[in-house]
Order: sequence, then structure tokens, then C-alpha cells
Amino acid sequence: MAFHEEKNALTREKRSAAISHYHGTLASLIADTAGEEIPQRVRTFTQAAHDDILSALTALRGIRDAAIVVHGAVGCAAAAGALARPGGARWYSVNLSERDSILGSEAPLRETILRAIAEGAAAVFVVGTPVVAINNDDVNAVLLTLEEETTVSVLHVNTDGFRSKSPLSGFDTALHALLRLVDAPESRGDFVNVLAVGDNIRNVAAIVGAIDALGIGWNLLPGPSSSLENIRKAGSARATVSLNDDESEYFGLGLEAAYGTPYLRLPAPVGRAATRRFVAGLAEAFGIDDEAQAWLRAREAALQELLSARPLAGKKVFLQLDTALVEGFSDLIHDLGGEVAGVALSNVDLNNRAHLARLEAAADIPALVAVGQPFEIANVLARTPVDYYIGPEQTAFAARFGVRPISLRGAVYYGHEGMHALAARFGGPHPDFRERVRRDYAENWLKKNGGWHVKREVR
Amino acid sequence: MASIRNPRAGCALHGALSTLEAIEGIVPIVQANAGCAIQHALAYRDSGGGYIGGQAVPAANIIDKQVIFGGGSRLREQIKNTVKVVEGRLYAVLGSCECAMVGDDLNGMAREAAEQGLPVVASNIAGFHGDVYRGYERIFLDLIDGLPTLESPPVPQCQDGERPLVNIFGIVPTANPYYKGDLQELQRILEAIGLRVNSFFGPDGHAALYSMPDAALNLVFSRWGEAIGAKLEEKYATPQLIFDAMPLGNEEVGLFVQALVERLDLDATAAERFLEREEAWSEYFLLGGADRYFDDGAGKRAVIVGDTETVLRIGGFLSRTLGVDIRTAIYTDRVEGEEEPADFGGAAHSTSDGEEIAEVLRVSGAELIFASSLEDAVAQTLGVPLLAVSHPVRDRFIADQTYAGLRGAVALSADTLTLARQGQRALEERLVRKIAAAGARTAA
Repeated sequence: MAFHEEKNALTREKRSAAISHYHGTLASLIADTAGEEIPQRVRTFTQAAHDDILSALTALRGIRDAAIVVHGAVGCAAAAGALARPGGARWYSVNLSERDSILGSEAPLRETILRAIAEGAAAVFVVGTPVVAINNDDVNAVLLTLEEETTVSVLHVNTDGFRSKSPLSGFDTALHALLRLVDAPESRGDFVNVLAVGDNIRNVAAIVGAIDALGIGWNLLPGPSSSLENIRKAGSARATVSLNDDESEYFGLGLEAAYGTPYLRLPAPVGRAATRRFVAGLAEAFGIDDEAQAWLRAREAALQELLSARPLAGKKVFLQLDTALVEGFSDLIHDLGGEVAGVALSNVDLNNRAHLARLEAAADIPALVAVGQPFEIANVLARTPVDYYIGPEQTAFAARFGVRPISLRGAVYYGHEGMHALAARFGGPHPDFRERVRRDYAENWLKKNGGWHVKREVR
Repeated sequence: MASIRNPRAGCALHGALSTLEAIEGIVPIVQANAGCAIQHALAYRDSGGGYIGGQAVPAANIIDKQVIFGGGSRLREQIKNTVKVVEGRLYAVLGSCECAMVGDDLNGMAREAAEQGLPVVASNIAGFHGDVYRGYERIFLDLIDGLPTLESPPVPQCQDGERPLVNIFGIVPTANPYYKGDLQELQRILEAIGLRVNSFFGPDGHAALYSMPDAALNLVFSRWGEAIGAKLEEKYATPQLIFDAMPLGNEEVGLFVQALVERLDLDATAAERFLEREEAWSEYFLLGGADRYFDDGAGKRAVIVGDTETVLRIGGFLSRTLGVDIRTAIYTDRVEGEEEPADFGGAAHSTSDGEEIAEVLRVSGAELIFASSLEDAVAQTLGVPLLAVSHPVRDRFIADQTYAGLRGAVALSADTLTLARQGQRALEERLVRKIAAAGARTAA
């Protein structure tokens, strides 16, 4: 049985032994994750972190003809305003009250789904939350009843906010639901599925622009402005590629298992080398190697001025990224003349650990595994000489340590366009923000060993 | 409760979190699954933030083991280590839906920490208790109960101790996106007439909490402060003076000041002098505004969307002072079944549902929209300019901007004139395109 036919997606911990904490060096991280099992450690102090619900919402938000029904209290959909894509899915909160948490939430759920359908949704995704999971509300019974009343697909995205410490599990749960919408292919089309799940719009635009330039047809899903049609026809693609396989490999592997659509394991297209491998991999699948090489030569020639300027010469950079991106970013920093001085990775598991091996040249640098947890990064920055800190968002805390933050929120860093754009961020005036940011963390903590608050998991 | 399309605010936990984040020196500790505090951080990430906020908020990130066996011991270690990692003068544990359902003993854990001399209080709040306004109300009620159990920190001696102290309640941080500037303006007016002010949300927030019982009067500016005022009255015999909204404009501020002068026996002559001086400045700032107002067509038709306090304050000023014709007022925080408090001579609705609000806007015939950024899309479709006065406000970073008091009236008058001109210009551009298209058809 293909794994998308299972009732639920497994958590990342169960599927690929994902860890959510590590504190050590890159060399020790590589060594500790080399075996069949990866030892789990547990924090005794934590800061706010993303959960599987937010990842599922992120994965589904771009589907323009779908509705997202957040089956919880109104706060479980509070991020709707921030996550919603222009022209993307419509959002509904079932808006559960305390009474619903006692008496069950099936009736308001049914009412909300019917409303979404009446307001034009072509598919409805019911995203689970802790209240309904703890209450064991029978969502599937509601969905089964609706099957007799409507032809609109209503799918359960079985998230709960507490089963997994890895928010990436939520991408899998959402993609598990999407896989059920894919039509069995009758023939193979002349296009590639481009999986863009959490990627920002500028990155997606940069890559589909490059694929266009190569003359390859593409089917973007479930990214910005995608539709149910993009999902339904995914099985008939010639191949599938992820922009960030940490986030979307589940769908690629699912398609491959169910319909034989080849999943090209290509690196995230960040930096010169990874972009080259990404383009070459696509070109091979479509038999256009010569054209692609010519295109690459022209684009790389345009990079020469930037590379010879070495804007990061003598500079040290700390990276906080998804593991899928770290290899490309590391190459990019080196190409610009800089040096990676430390990494904080969102998730390391049996599937993505190979990305780390390529970084071995910098084995003595500090390495963390953390989703968010800026206090741990602050601890490293307080004791490690670093010039730049690159992080996903809310990066200002690093300025306290005299480090220049580079936030990736909304920034383009894919492909050759991304190289130019990122390099530009390192330039310009460097005002001193040390006294202009919050000083959240106790001096004692900043002097302590960064693994002081961690214990081994007791099973 | 009915479903909501495009929810505009969070839950009671988020209201409590917004409130705590806005008080300098307080560190929240969220006993919830991962995601609850990030939902809040994402919803309010562009609001300017507070003392500690966003992804830096300490949160226990409860997992299934703690849902099954209880999260008490996880919370114990989280409290113990939060005080070691995060600088704070008061730590407040907040509950959540799941810890309410599981039955975690937050008060017990906070008490245990307090017995060891740590400044920790708890609030058994849960998301499903209601909206952000309920959360604001609940956390203040719990702070009033919890703070006396802690050792009070040394509060700086006041140089002008004879001036009466007033507390301000009912303004919910971030639910009112302009709360910082609004409260600063209220404080400016109140200090000018001889009062000391605890607004809680400012550089002295933590100390203000401990001097809360010393107030001569509690000033309540929305229904969401009434239960807080009542509790303080019961506990410390401090009377409360309740207003529907913050005052906005010379007339309202005049009445407000007069009420306080009478109630607290303040220097009426000094207060009058202050108001006269302020009025002169307002007139100076808005010189020429009247010409522009009449040039652009006085009395534009408008719709206003926001919580009750915002609609009454801003809608009242627009209608009364600027002659804006409020065709529809939409209240986003009313309790089901309640009547709307004012219709400004037009229609009134109670809903926070994005689709229902959009539908009202579509048929309103409005020339100006005073609402939130959620109404941007429909405003653009209609070609009607929008001023974001209620939550959420995106894109604009709000520091000390205000739409309250006297300076707020000047700002709102200027912004309304700007909005009216933008509307006029957009209309002219649409007409030029129409004439050009008609000309092209004729030529063909």
C-alpha cells in the first residue's frame, strides 16, 4: 500500500527519526546522526515554536479555489492574516467555545464546511487542533455524512499541535491530504511538478522564471496561485522537483510510489553550485543538457564581477536555516569570500543528514538543531566572533552582540537572482544597533554552556 | 458561536499575551502546545511588539506525553529555568485550551515558585474562553489577585505625591493598534490638569502594577475595563469613572477634563488655560484645512469598522466634528444578541466575519472607509480609499501615532482630508479612463 493510502502521515520522529534539539559542533552532529537511530534530547526551557498546524496552514494557503477550515478556537486561526496569500485559499475558523469543547464540535464543524462550500470552495481542508484532538471529536463521521450531500472534496488534515516536536510533520500531514486529490495518470505530460510549500513568493518567481527560460513546462503546487487542477494533474508529470525537500519531499515520494512519477532529489537552488546541480538535474530529465549548459554559462558569466569583488572577504557568518538550504548557503558564503562560523538547523533526520556531510570542511564550528529558540543562538553569538547572522525572521536580537542581522523574510535567495540579491544585503552602511534592541537574556545565561538546559529523553 | 471568515484577532490567550507583552518588565510563560504563542506572534508581528514578544516568548511547547499525564512537572522546570534565562521583574504563567482540558495546576506551580521568592503569578486562561478582549480583562483580574501574594518591589518615591493618581483601563494593547500613542496622549492631558497616571503600557509598566491600589480613581474607557474597575472598587474601595470611549477632539476632551476636575477637585482655572492653549494649537495646525474640506466636497459618505471603543470614538468625531456621513458602523467585538450602541444616523451591524463585512461595504455607497487592513482588498475593488484605524493594521509601523485626545484629533482631521483627496483623485482618474475609452469608440 502506498503510504498516502494510510490513514495518517507519520510524524517526522517516527518516519525519519527527526531530532529537534542538538548542541555541539558540526563534527559531533555529523557523528551523532550517522547511525540507524538518532538520540533525542529534551529542553527544560523553551521559547515559542512553530507546530504542525502552522505548517499545514502554510502548505495549503496558496490553493486559490480551496477553503481552509481551522477546526478549533478562534486563536488557532489567528495567523490567518499573516499567512494568507493574495488570491489564495479562503480561511474560516469554526470558532469553538468552551461549551463546544465539552459537548463536542461536530455540529459547528459541519455548519462551517457547508458555509465554505456555499461560498464557492472547490475543496475544503479541515485542519485539526488540540481541542478536538484531546476531545476525540469524530471529524471523519462529519466528513462521511457530507460525502452523501456534496461532490466537493472535504479532506481531514489531522494535525493536533502536540504529537510531534517537528513542525515539518505538519507539511507531511497536509501533503498527505493533497495526495488523495491526485488523479491516476493516463499518460505522461511534458512538464515538471515544482513543489513550493513554505517558499516565499519572490523565491518561487525566481525559480519558475529560470525553468521558463530553459523551455520546460512547469506545474507549481501547492504554491502561490496554484489550484486544485495543479494537484489533480501532478501524477502525469514527467518528474517532480522540490524547492526545499525538507518541506515537500513527502509529496514527491508519494507521487513516485503511487504513480511512478520520478522524484528528482535535487538540492535547493541556493548559490552557484547548487543552482548548477538543480538546473542540470532538470535538464537531464527533459533531455536538454546542451541548452541548459549554455544557459548556465551565460548566467554564471554575469556573476563574475560579483564573485571577484568578494564582498564577504574576511567575514564570518552564522546561519539559521532549514537543513535543505544550508549546503547552498554555505557555498554561497564561500563564493563571496566569507566563512561559515556556526549553524542552527531546523530539523535533522535520517533523510536530510546527507546535507551536513558536505559541510565537513568547517567541522569545528558550533552547530545547533532548533526551531526558533533564539536564546540558544544568542548564547552562541555571545561567545563566538561573528559578523553576520542570517536567519528566517525576527533577527534583530543578534544586533545586541555587534552582529549584523540579515533577515530572509520575503527575501529572494534562490538561483542566480538570489545570489545578486543576497550579496547586496551584505553591503551598505552598518549602523550600530547594539543599544537599540531588546536585552531579553540574562548575562548568566549568555556565559553558561549552551547545553545546560538539556536532558536526555526518558522513554 | 458562529464560524468566522478571515478571523481578525486571536483568542483570550492572545489577548492576555498582548497585554503582558506590552508591560515593561513582565515575562509571560505560556503553558500550551507549540504554535499557540507563534499564532499570536504572527498575528501581531507588525504591531511594534513589547517588552518580550514574538518567538522569544517562553513557552512550554507541550507534547502528547504531557497531554496524557499532565504538564505540571514540565511547567515546574519551565518556570525554574525561565527566571534563569530571561530577564524579568515579574513572570506570569498563562494557560491554554489544552492545559484547561488536561487540568494542569497553574496556580499551584506559580505558588510553589512564589514560596521560593520568585515573582511568579498565574492565569488559568484558555483560548476558548473568548476573544482578545476577554483575555485582557481576565489577565488584569488575575494580576489584581496575584500581585498581593508577592513581595512588592521597591517603588520609586514620587516627587509629587500630593497629585492624585489615576489608573487607565479598557484600552486593549494591539487590539487597539494605536494604543501606545493613544495612552501617551491621555497621559499628557491628565498630567497637564494635575494628575499622576498609571497607564501600565509604557516604560514604567511594572512599577505601575504595584501602585495600582493607590489610585484615587480608575478611569475606564471601554466595557473591557469595567470588570477590572469593579474588582478594584470591591478590593480597595477605589471608585471608577466609566466612559464609552477615549475622548477625541476639543469638545470631548473638554467634557472629560471637566468631569475629572469636578470629581477630583482639581484646579479648574489651570485646566481651562491648558485647554485654551491646546485649542489654539489645533486651530493653527489645521489652518487651511477648512478650505480643502469644502473644496473636496464636505460630508463624505463613510463606513467605519472596529471594536466598540474605536467606532464610538472615531465615528463620533468624524460625524460630529468633520461632518462625515457615517452610513454604516460595524462593531467587531459585540457579544451575540447585544444591540449596537450607536448608528450615527445610518445603519449599524455587529460582526467580525470578513465576508459579512465585505458584503456591507459593497452595498454601502461609501466614499471613505475607516476600517482595518483586512478591508483593503474590498476597498481596492470598490476604488474607495481606506484609513486603517482598527486591528489589524498591516504595512504601517505604528509608534506614537494617535487618534485620541487633542493631538489625535488633529491627526485624524489631517488623515481624513488626505483620504478625501485620494478618493477624489481616484475618481478623476477613473473618469479620464472612461472618457478616453468612449473617445476611442467614437473615433472607431
